[in-house]
Amino acid sequence: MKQMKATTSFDRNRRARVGNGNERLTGPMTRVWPLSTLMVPPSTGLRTGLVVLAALSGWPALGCEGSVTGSEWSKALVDGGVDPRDERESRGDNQVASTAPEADASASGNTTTSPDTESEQTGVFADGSPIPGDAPGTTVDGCSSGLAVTPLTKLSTVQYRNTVRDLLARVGAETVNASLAVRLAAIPDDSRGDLFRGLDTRVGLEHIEGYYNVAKTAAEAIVSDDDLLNEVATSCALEDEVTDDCVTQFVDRFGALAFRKPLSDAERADLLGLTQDASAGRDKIRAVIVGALISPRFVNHVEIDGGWDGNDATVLRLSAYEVASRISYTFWQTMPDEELFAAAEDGSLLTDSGVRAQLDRVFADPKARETLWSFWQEWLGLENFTGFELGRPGFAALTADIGVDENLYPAMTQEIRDLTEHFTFAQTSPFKALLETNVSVTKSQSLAKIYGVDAWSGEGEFPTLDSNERSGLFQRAALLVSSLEQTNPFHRGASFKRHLLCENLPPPDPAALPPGSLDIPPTSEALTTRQRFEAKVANNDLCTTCHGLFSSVGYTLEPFDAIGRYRTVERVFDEASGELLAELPVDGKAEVLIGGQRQIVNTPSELNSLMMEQGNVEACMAQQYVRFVNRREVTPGTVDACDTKELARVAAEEGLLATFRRVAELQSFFQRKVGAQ
Amino acid sequence: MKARKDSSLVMPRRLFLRGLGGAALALPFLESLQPARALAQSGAPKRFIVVKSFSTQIVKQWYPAFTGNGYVLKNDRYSGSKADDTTLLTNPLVSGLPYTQAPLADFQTDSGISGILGEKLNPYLSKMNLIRGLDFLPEMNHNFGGLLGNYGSCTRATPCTADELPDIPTIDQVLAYSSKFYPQTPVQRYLHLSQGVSDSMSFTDRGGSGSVEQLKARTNPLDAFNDLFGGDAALPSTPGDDTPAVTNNDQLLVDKVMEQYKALRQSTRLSKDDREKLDQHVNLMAELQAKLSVRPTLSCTAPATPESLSNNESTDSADIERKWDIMLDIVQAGLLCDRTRIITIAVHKALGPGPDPDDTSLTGHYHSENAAGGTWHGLAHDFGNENSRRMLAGINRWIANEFFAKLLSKLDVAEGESTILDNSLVYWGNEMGFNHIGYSVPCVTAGSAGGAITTGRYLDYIDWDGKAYFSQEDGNVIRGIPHNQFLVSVMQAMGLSPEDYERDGKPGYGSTDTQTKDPGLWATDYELSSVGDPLPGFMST
Repeated sequence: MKQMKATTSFDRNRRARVGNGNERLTGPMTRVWPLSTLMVPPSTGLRTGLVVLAALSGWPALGCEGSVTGSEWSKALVDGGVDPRDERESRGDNQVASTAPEADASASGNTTTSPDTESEQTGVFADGSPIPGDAPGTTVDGCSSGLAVTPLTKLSTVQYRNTVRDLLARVGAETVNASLAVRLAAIPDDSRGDLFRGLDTRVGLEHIEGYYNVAKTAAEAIVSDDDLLNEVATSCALEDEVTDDCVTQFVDRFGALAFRKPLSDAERADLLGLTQDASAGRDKIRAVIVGALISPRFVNHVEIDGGWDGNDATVLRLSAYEVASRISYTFWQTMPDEELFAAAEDGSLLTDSGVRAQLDRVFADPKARETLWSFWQEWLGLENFTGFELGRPGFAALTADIGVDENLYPAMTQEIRDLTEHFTFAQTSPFKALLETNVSVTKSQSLAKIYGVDAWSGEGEFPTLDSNERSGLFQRAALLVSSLEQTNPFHRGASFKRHLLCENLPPPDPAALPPGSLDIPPTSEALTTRQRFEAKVANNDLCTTCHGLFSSVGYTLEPFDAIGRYRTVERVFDEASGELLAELPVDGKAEVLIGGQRQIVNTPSELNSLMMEQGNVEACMAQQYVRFVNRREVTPGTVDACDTKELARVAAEEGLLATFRRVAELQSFFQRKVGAQ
Repeated sequence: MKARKDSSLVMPRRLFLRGLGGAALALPFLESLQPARALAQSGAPKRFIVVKSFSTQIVKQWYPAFTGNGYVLKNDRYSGSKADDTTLLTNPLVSGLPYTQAPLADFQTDSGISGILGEKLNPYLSKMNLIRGLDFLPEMNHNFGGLLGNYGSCTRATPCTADELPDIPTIDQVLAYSSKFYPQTPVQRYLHLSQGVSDSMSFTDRGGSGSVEQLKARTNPLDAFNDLFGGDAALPSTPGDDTPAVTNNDQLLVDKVMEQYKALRQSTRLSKDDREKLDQHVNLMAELQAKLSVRPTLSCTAPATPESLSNNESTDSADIERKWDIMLDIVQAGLLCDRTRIITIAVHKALGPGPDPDDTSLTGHYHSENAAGGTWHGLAHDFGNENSRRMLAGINRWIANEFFAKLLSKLDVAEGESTILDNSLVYWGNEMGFNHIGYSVPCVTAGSAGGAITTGRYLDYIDWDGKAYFSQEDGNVIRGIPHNQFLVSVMQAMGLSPEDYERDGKPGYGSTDTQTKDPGLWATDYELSSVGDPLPGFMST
């Protein structure tokens, strides 16, 4: 069975390359280096690169399988369950068939474990192992709409920059990276308008031109330096009359890394075709580098090499190399490393055990911590804070005893990073533990002073915060600060509701508001901040309808001043002179609406408890994480929604590391839904 | 070369591929296109430069409040909210319409013509226009592209009813892809500059070749420089050097890579949307390819390469000032060297007074979507606070005196018998009118677009005898004139005709839909029969 499937897969690929009808399919063996042999420059570690491993390009590993007749082809279609669209593609119905990506040719990396071939018919791999990941709906219901469409997207700008750097390092040209810094920086940053930068998938001329400039700069730096060129493309590339073998070997090696998969014949031909107009060796190498780095396979996430799911003709099962890329880009924001490529090559990435083994390794790598920090930073909006108004007399008066400088906010965000990392990697406990913790991990003297504890020395027990004053992650200073000497309960309440509880609070429509509605109520010697803000929306149905949803949450946070320090008395300062105008008692008691229920809250700690009990914070975090990972919105009814529920369950029961990993243990991670044709 | 039969690629790639290979290589690029019409009277090219500021202006400080030379305040004629302490204009702009005008020079004082439009603009008053009464008709809020015609582009933090309108290209992009404005393919069709926020005010469909996308702005001066002078797709900077910046092999190379894109889009494993995305990539690569083939006449020496100053969200005043200075130098050089004719500058960062009224030093301010207290945006939400108003006025006064005036000084340099400024239209606009409302959106222009526009005037398009619906933050909701007519004025001043920009058979440009505005509460009764015309009395006759 396995062998037969491999044969039909091979034959189908051959038809894609050769054309239609009943032609006798005999192709020459093609020399391809497996990716695992390509991770070190040939000059430093030329291993068995010249050993032919044709399987990586979809060719049979042990030689040509001979010929297939028309009737055999028809039977193969039936046996293989080939989607008619693949057949159309294979027949070469259009003029570019000869250069079209060959859907299956590059997928397997090893014909003996081709996921495409096996899964199309049986739904399991030939060895009986299940498809990686849990099927949707195995743990939760409500995915009737099936998988959400995964669109073709560019690498995020962060991913692009990382990939260029890592690719060049992989081929021994890491010294080029220094000269590329400016070029890489010129690629437009993705915007974080929808919280996560990854959701900004727009491509403009600045990207395309930037990709070209990066490619050209990198290529010319390499070919203009004999030592580098020798390192990257071996000494044969130094010759004026470079041999075809020399160029082909470089194409296979560099192209496979750039495309993050072994090259298909067509892709190899495409890259070789780039060299036709060059004569000198270094010019050919230059053309390959430039061409590869601006190719669609390099700058996009292209997932078309797997087989169609046997149960759904719109769903592709990812190839092993695509899985390697998904894992790598999801958790590292860069291309797969040598071991991931090796795991793709040997097929282990198509097994649960293989994936788990890689995830163990992936999450032990500092790059995973960077990615998770990006998630926290973007979800919690920590980059949005524009800094304290240090020169404002009122603010200076408020913070005179703390010694606030430009290092304070970075210390606050560092605390969030340290705290989330501790509860992800060092302490395995449900997410709730982080949400309720009172440990203080900050090493900043200023921040510790704000909290009223000693700075942590870096070893031993953590100091603990007074749990009567504040609780958990969300009541740390970084989430509470204002730029001024006064707080803004509206902003705090709306931010908590929107970001931490994932509630949809539409912003006010200025065209429907009375004069001055959006103005901050002026400072008063007689009124607390809360009283001023309450008065602003009181007795006005136009305001209270919306403000009733979130403002009271802000009021319950009034026991924290503008730098997140606990207080029972509000000191009112004149903003322009810093004069202390009044000291007024803080009232943090309010009726809040959380989880559809209204309840009286007396303290910030009670608010935190209520959020834990009613707010379904785990679900919010899971939803945001799924958005972050998938780079798309979570559509109700889709598997994304069910995955969100599953991640929320894991967060509640198992903890953060398990949650972050879990996304790569679900079947949806190994599939791609193709949108409407 | 392989046959290209892909009709889905809207951009006429053959145009871009002209000059590739063989004898055709010597042909000037796109030479067969229509003769230039976007030339000033002197024969110099026309340019369109946009400056955008945010969260509107303080009405009383923005407009003249001048009472000399026989002028009186509106308070002398009107009461209630119409008595807004600004100068009353009485000279009709055009016969039969309630619009008024006055020479800007009439209001000149040692401190400028208004609280914000300060003394450093005095030398340019004869080349400027101050326009009052331009109204956005749709229901808008903070937005990216409204001042250039894409009204449905509210920021993500402040969605608005106008978001329901389909995105359309902003007028800078209509110009950028017009063969009348650019008879030959330029080095750079446009340059968008900003500090902090990198999403630009510009939206493009690349000449009708795809969906409308928001463009990014350059935030690092070095990137802007490289776009015009140092990029690999740009040109040698030595005058007289006509050596292509890159070998023609790269044009061919790009062409071959484009074939990879086209091959990929044939995959049945991609969706229609995926293919459209690849089409967009192909079109962009065609533009890249075109840039690789451009060899315009060089008549200048490129400025020194600036250092890389990365983008940030800080309010460091030295960083802000330094970047703007470098960027304005690049703007000047880019125009002098004719590397581009369209530049937009989003002034998200500026200097201004700090919160201590007794401290006369300037500090940095950053306008982003973050409206937290103390930020520029936050100050605009603190209008009832005198100290906030002081700071807001100071920020905009700095923009007028230290940024806009500096820009004008760099443009007012000789070009033939006139100056670049004379041959340009510089437009300082804003994202909104007072208090997030799209009425009487602030507008200053400079330059006559080569004589197409009459300058030196304060033009008021508000019908002050009309109904004042309500007043907020010193601003009145009184019917003015559709901002759309300003857009038409710009495009016609740049040499375009209605057939070059009108869409869907509708006159003018941009939506005139007042959407769900209640006619009892808002001015909605605009005269739309003339919405396809330029502003009355604005163009030279």
